[in-house]
Amino acid sequence: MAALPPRQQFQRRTSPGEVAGQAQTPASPVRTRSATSEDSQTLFLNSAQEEPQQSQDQQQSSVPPPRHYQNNDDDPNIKKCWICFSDATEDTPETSPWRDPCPCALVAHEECLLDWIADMESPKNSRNRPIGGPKIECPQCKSEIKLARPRNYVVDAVRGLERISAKAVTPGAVMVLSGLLYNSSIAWGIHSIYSIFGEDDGFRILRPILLNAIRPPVDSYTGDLRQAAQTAVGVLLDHLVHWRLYLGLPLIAPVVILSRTKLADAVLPILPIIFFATQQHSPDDGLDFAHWPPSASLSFAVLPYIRSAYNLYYERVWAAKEKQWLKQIQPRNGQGQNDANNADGVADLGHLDQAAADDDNIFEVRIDGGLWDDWDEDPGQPQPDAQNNRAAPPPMPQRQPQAGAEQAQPPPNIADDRQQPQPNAVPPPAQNIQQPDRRLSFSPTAIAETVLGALLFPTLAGLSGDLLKLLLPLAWTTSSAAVSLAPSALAFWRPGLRVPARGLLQEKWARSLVGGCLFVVAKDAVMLYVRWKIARMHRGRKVLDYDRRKAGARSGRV
Amino acid sequence: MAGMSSKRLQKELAKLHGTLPPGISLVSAENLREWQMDMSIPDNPIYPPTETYRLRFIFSPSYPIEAPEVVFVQLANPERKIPIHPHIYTNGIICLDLLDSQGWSPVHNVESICISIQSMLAGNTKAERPPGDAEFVRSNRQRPRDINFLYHDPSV
Repeated sequence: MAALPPRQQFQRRTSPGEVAGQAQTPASPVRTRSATSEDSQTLFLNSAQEEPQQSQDQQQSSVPPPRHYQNNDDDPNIKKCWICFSDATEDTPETSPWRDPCPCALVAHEECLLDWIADMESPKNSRNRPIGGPKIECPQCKSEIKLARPRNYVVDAVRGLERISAKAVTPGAVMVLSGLLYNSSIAWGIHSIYSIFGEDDGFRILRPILLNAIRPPVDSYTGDLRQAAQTAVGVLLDHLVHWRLYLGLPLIAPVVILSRTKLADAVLPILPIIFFATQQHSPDDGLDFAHWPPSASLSFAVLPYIRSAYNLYYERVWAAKEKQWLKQIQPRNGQGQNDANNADGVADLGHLDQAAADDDNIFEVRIDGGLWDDWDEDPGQPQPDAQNNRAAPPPMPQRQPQAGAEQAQPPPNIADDRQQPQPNAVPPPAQNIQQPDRRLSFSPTAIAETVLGALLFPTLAGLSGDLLKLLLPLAWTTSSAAVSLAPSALAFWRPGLRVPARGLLQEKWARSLVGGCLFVVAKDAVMLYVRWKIARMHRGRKVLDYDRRKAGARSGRV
Repeated sequence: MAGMSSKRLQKELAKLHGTLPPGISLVSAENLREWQMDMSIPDNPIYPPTETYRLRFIFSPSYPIEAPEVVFVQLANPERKIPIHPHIYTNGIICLDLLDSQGWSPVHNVESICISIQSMLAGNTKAERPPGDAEFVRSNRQRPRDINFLYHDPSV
């Protein structure tokens, strides 16, 4: 398009009947019409001016004395498109009609408006706007500009669906993920039940959900809708009746993991209380403290206390020494060494597998675990592994007399897990390690180790229980009729008690429990020994001299 | 619609040849793609009246639907510096909602942009660069209109 200087009258169209020199008043004042296309044809005749400025005068015959405007911009009666800045004087036959879509004075060509609206609605601009519904507002008066679009129901329906599905994406993803987690937790829970309880008891506990596991879906298409609904409700109730299993099984895994953190110190001791409070009253007296051996419920319920007690003991007796041994393997603090270095070295210590601060993430803040990894004599043994004392809060079968006892109560979270002996982070010695150099390094390796160790713990406990069975005399660990007359494992507690002549260790779960505890104790003992030994051997190190005699002879040097 | 942009720019140019607000002047507008204006700020000690700043406008074919690109330029001869302002980076990019695709509308024009920038500078009290200026200058590859500024300081 040719670049013309502005304000040139390049095209004019005269309506028929107009005579040069006569001005034509517009059909209506520019401001108040509802734009119809006819208006754009309203023209102002150039009243024969040849002024070099190409301004034109407008003469109105019926209104206040005509004012002469210097240029079209100042003339309020000439429409000016606020988008392309051309005014009504420059209209050609191809110019699109004028539109006045809002209360304020802005008018524009329809094409200009549509271009602008298209740009406003384009994807690049609709980042934050709902799909298919941005409001186009006039930039000056902010009132909505309405468009009449041709309607097509298919298009509308599809766009409506798009909108709905856009909103449904996030909740859907969340649901899928949580479903994944839930099912994998249940699977792992089942596995841990079996490792702790053995096949028979384990199956007895888990049997109620066997049917539900692969039950076919309700067929709602067979005619009778009401019957289908009833079946569905029945299925739902079947699930709900075993709510303890469905709630407790998946909780085993996270509780086991969390019990390796500091969070557990506060929470675990409370759980048995909750458990006892919700204990069903059963004729079988699971809570009978009076007779030995204790029921499974009771044993597991007591675990958190055993754990706390052990932790306390460990801290009191061993933690200081351990810290000292660890310190001995660090470079000696000669005169030149600054405190920062010292603090670093000490803080560095493998010790500080910090089970996370409560206010921090749950997961470990491992202030260097790497050091100890090198020192671990048995690389096959994952370090944090089996530092836990006993994980699974298994559902407690009531004792045999309660035949129909599928009220397996998974007592939620009677996990009794002890933290690693190292990071008994509570003890003061560890605390002044932190202050000088609190390197909160968020090590994913450490987290992975903790989680894996936690998850493996029930298996290991079960294995330890089996080991016990191998090692201990048969009488203690089997409950056959032939042996029932023999003194039970701890019968010396109750000298007179013969019936039921059963010891604690005769149940698989009990063996697992005791085995797990012993495992932890044994591992702690071994680690302590190892560290002590390393500290001692540390001093015996010597650097060897390079053997020059041989080398000299070979090379012929003098 | 290159036609529309040319037409409109012609009109704007004519207007600019007429009267302009004080402190703003047209330097060059040889084509309808890039213009340069000079600006000085009255009444603000941060910007002494002796200092003039050069603005460069670059128009796209879809102007005025699309905002022009407006940046300060630094020249040696004549001397033009980048004004110090918490919303102006040292490479001349201006953080102004008006110039962003979301804040722009065709109702603005070159003159109104200049006035807005001038008032933004005139009302400024902090003689500092934006936070993260060095990093931005070093690593920015986007055109100013594409940059996702956060406009959260209405006081400046």
